[in-house]
Amino acid sequence: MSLVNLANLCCHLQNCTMARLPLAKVPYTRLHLQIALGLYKEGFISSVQRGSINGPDITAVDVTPDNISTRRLWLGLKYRNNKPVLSNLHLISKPNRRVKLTNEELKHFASGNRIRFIPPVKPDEVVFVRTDKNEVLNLFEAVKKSREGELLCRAS
Amino acid sequence: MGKGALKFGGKSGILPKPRQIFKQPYKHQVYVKAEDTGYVDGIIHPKGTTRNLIRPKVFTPEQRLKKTAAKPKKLYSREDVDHMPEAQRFKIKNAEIRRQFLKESYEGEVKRLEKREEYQKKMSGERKKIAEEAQRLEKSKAELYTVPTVESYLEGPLIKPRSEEDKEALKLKRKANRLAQEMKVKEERSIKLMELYNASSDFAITESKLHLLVDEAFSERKLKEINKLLNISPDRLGTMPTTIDFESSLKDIILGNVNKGPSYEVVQDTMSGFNDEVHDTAEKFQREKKLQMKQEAEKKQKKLQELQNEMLKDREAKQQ
Repeated sequence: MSLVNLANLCCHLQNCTMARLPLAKVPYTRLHLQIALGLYKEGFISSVQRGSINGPDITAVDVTPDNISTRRLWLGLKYRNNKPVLSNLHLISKPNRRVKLTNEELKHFASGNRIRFIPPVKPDEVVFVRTDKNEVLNLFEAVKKSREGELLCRAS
Repeated sequence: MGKGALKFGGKSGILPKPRQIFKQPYKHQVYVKAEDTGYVDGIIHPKGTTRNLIRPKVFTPEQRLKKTAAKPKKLYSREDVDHMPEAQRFKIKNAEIRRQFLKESYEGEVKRLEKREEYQKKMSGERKKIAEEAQRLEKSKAELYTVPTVESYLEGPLIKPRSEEDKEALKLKRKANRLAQEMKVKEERSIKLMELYNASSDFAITESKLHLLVDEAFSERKLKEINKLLNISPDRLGTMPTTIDFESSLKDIILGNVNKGPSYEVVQDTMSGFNDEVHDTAEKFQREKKLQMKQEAEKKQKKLQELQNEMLKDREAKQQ
């Protein structure tokens, strides 16, 4: 999956929260779904719904090669005291500078240390890692499961 | 530049680089490497080399000690040593101490290597254990019960694949579309061909025809018509009497003719039998109509006859 699309997702979500939108629609892809679920688990967004370009589905609709172009994920955005809960979402690994870490490096990074050019993880930050099994995990989950992988993005 | 400490500006306290005591393995290692590896199939290996891995020979500390610091050939008794000069005594003692130290260092090295091996074994075991535990790691109950079911979509393919029937239907649909497109193109070509074929009857393909056409184009009648057209104002064009050409073109449109000949549609209808059907139906209607009219005429005749008879009867009755 292209990281360019993930970069677009990051930008789009930031723009939506800045515009104080209640819902954001993003293309229905595996990586986007994985990231959206990660954000949901960490409490950055309030809901993840499948839908079309017109809005979330009321009844379940099968995704087929004929309707995939109109399928979207609808993410409920959260605000607190008129401030967005998700204010920063940035790529770490970029198409021209991939950051793939071993389990030892991930441990080092998760311990609050700087690794290569990447600033240390702040207490309110969440880092998503794409493991070698093509699953997207939180940094601490990846360490716990002793996986290695690519640092995708950081949210705060 | 100098040697030894002089290399470092005469500074002391710099130790030489540590060197390996055992360059060859000191004990037998269980290591099996697949044969014929190291070179890709079909690549010839250099002369004098082999495709198989040659492990270095095992050289045990005992063998090493025997080779580098073997025991003296002649062993002196205590009395012999006491009678020896001081220098020789020192030499013998020195050699003995050196031999002893070398032996101790070898033993120490073996001990160190054994320890390291044990540590590595332990570490790999621990790492394996951690990996196993990580494999066994399951979702917490809180996570299991709060994560939305949408996550289950990640397990299978994201898009529902087309069934064999769907694939077949799609294939047929595409084929039909393609054929329709091809048909349209062919039809257009046929229409143009028919137009050209009909128009070819007016082409001057012989010299006599050419003369005829030239004469006709420059004939008095034609010139008069052109002059008439040029003199008339555009407002009065509608009031002009219709020419033969206009009427013939009107007829062509009604009959579906192109360039004074049958158009593609007419030919197609004739070939497909549609025109015959229309003709038959028209004839049938005509026959039916004729029959009906005949019957009506007969009925009328009959009625008239009856009326006449009645009138005659009335007249006769009045006369009586």
